This record gives sequence, C-alpha cells and structure tokens, in this order.
Amino acid sequence: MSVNQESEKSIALSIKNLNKSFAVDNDLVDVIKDLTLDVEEGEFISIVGPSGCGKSTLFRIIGGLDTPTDGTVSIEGRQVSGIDQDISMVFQENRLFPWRRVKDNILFGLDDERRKKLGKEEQKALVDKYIELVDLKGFENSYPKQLSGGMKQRASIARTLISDPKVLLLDEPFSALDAFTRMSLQNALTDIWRKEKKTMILITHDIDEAVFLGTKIVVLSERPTRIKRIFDVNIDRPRDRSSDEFTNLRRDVMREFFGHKSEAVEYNI
Amino acid sequence: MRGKKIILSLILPVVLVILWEIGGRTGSINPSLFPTPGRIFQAFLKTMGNGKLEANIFVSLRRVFLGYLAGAFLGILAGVIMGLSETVHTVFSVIFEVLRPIPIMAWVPVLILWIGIGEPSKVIVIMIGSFWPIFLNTYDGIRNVDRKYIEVAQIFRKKRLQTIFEVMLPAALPSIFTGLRVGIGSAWVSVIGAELIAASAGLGFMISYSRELAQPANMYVAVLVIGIIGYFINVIIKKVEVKLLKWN
Repeated sequence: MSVNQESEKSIALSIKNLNKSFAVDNDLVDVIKDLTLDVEEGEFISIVGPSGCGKSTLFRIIGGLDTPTDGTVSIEGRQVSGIDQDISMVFQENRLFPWRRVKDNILFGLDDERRKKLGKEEQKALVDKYIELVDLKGFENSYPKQLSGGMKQRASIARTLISDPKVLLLDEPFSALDAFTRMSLQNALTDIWRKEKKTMILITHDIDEAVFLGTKIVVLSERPTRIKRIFDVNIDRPRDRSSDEFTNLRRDVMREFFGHKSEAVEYNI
Repeated sequence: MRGKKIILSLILPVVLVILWEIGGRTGSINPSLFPTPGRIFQAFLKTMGNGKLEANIFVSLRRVFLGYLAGAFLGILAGVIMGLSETVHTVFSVIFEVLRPIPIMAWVPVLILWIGIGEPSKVIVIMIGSFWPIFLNTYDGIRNVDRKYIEVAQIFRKKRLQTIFEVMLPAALPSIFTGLRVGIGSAWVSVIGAELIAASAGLGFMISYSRELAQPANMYVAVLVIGIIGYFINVIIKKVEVKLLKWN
C-alpha cells in the first residue's frame, strides 16, 4: 500500500520485495514474485486472488510459519524473522483443540509471559472479556464439538485476539460457513475490528466479503503472485450490500480479478 | 430400550446353560468332560468356601496389576519418545521389529532360565505382553498428531515441553487408550499362559492342577472366572476412557 500523504498513521506492517520459490522436480517454481506492500495501522486489508496463487503461502511467510526466499517483513519498522508476538493468525479451519473447553481454548492464546504476571482471577476476567466480545457467553464450558461452525470460528478469533498481536491475519476464516452464518460473522468481525482497533489482513475468495470488510482491497495476480491492483474502499459503515457504491465497487474488483474478461458479468449474479 | 437389549443378550446364554444341564443329566453329554452347570456352581461355592478360589484370583490379579503397570509405563514412555524423535526410533527400529513378533509365551521358559520360577518372571511376561500394544498405539498416536494443531502452538509461541504436554499428548490420548485396552487383554492372556506353564498358585495354575487331579468342575470354575474378570476389567477401562475422553 503506498503511504497515504494526508494520513498521519504509521505503517504497521511492511512487506518488501518478497520472493518465494519452491523446488519442484529440480525446477524452481516462483510462487511469489517481488511483492511489496505497506499496511497502515488500524487498516483492514482484504486480499483476493485466484485460487492456487500464493495467498496462503504469503500468509504463512508473514506469520512466520514459512520463510521467504528473499525479501523482508517488518512490524512498525522492526524486521521480523519467524514467528513473532506481534503477528497472529486465525486459520481457515478453526483449529480449536477438541480436548479443551471453549474458555481453555481461548486461554491457550494468552502469551505465557503475560500469563505469568496475571493471577487466576485476572486471567479468567480476560478470557471472559473476549468471550463477550465474540458473543459466546454461556458457552465457556462447552467443548468444540458442541458448537456450530460459526461459533467455533468465533472462539478461534477470540483465541487470536487474546494473544494481543498488532497485526491479525485471517486466512479465509469464513469459507467453510453457510451464507447466513458468514454474513453474521462478517458483521461481528466489523464490530470487533472497530472496538479492538487492530490491523487486520483478510484472505478471501468472496469478493462481496472483501468489499464489505475492507478499508482496502488488494487484488493479486495468478502465480507467481504479484499485486495487480489496490482499491480504496470509501463506503460508510455499516455497509449496505445493495447500495450502488457497493455493487459498483464489487463489479470493478470482479473485473480486475478476472482480467476484464467477459465472464465477469456472468459471475456477477 | 436398554432393558430390552439386556434381555435379548441373555437369552442365548441362558438357553445354552439349560440345554447343557439337561444334556448332562440325561447322559447325552459326558459329565467327566463337561460337568453340568449345577456341578460347576457347586465347585464354585466349595472353592470359594475354603478360600482357594479367592487366593488364586488374588495371586493372578496381583501379577496382572504389577506387570500391566510396568508395561503401560514403559510402553507409553517409549511410544512418546520414539514418536517425538525419529532418530531414537531409527536406532531402536531393528531390535523392536525383531522382538515384537515373538509370541509372549516363548518368553516364559527364557525368563525362568534367567531369573527363576518366582514372581518376577511372571510379572515380566505380563509386562512384555502389555508393552507392545501400548507402545505401538502411543507411537502411532504421537506420530499422527495433526500438524495443524502443532502450528497453533507455534503461532502462540508455546515452548517445546508445553507443546508436548498440552497439545501432542492430549491429541494422542484416544490412541493411547486403544493401546491400554488391547494391552490389558494381552496382560490377562499372559498371566494365565505363564501360570499354566509354571506356577504354584493363580487361576492358570488352578486349571492345570485341576486337570491333573481330574477335577473338571474346578477347571471350569477357573476358566469361567477368568472370562468374568476379563469382562469386568474391560468395563472399568471403558468407564475411565469415557470419563477422560468426554470431549471425543
């Protein structure tokens, strides 16, 4: 993201000249090619891109689960290598531990250093705060198998929030949910983002979701992944999915996504 | 529904016992090979009355308890360590693959040669018998912990030991319990086998001794008691499992 001249906000996350290639049968395949992106503090970036492009790889590199071939990732000017306290992730599958109750799953996200400083009561209060934030009150003592898909993903978001990262990566968190649950979680996520004032980056396949949630939309190309275009989303919240500005932007993103091909119109139903 | 099922499950055994009794009384079943259920029950009361049965049950249970405890401890320990370290697994792999297929009973004479006919040799046979299924299932359980769970621990920057105790072990627990259940069956088989070959007390000894004394009814008492105790051990383990794995 180019630095906005008028804005005084600082850069939360900065990705510079990132490259990633994998060795496949003695060949080097470029997955990410020279990707550079600046994300301002408090932004909500929606990343869309064709499936099979390097979106998830990009996230795994930012999150420290994978290493780049070349290039850097920095948080507030500090270069990070590997897993970092300031970056955390909500996974596509909720990845809750089935043997832990909801409250204990959320507590797992709490940083150990911080946990040592807090008493049992303070820990509980903190867990309760996030349970309330994601609207899971009354389900603290449930096991994950007793929750619906949407509730599991809420718990998973709470577990990531309690770790108090500066940047939250959300890797297609709602892709496995039905349409209505997804919309309700998109609303919930908007509220959480506004209350917590975290910088969030979302990968999604759903252009509607990207427009509904993002302050900016980054459209990625096919492999090797580079940034095709960045859209600013200047639509007031709460956003009306049927308003002209919403549908117009969605159409523009869709066109960019499909490379101005005529299918765009047919997909846009 | 539950009551109906219990009744249904009891019909066949009851009918068989009645037929057996009638067959024995009418002489169509040889009572010196198959004493009637009535005679077996009398033998049961008699051996209970003079304390012989309880003494033998106690001896066998004590051996199983000690051997199983040792086997479970070593099996889980070895399974976890080898599940975590491919190097340790490779170092032990050849020895383990050769030792594993050896039938438990083959160890009985070997152990008697090494450490004599006393209690330790029997306890060790049971330990070996329960070790293998517990080790194998624990090893598999640890090896097959979903990488995705481990990544969660990484993302939240948990230490190695914490990851092992809070993520890998609980994730492997269902598999470990499968091992414990198979292991207790194997321990029970081992104790009777060891006692049949060389012992001066225990349910296995009671079987072979009754055969020597031509007391078939006592023999059947021991055989049936072995089955009934095995059944109850299984029930107990299942209860513990349900309680510990209620999330599963």
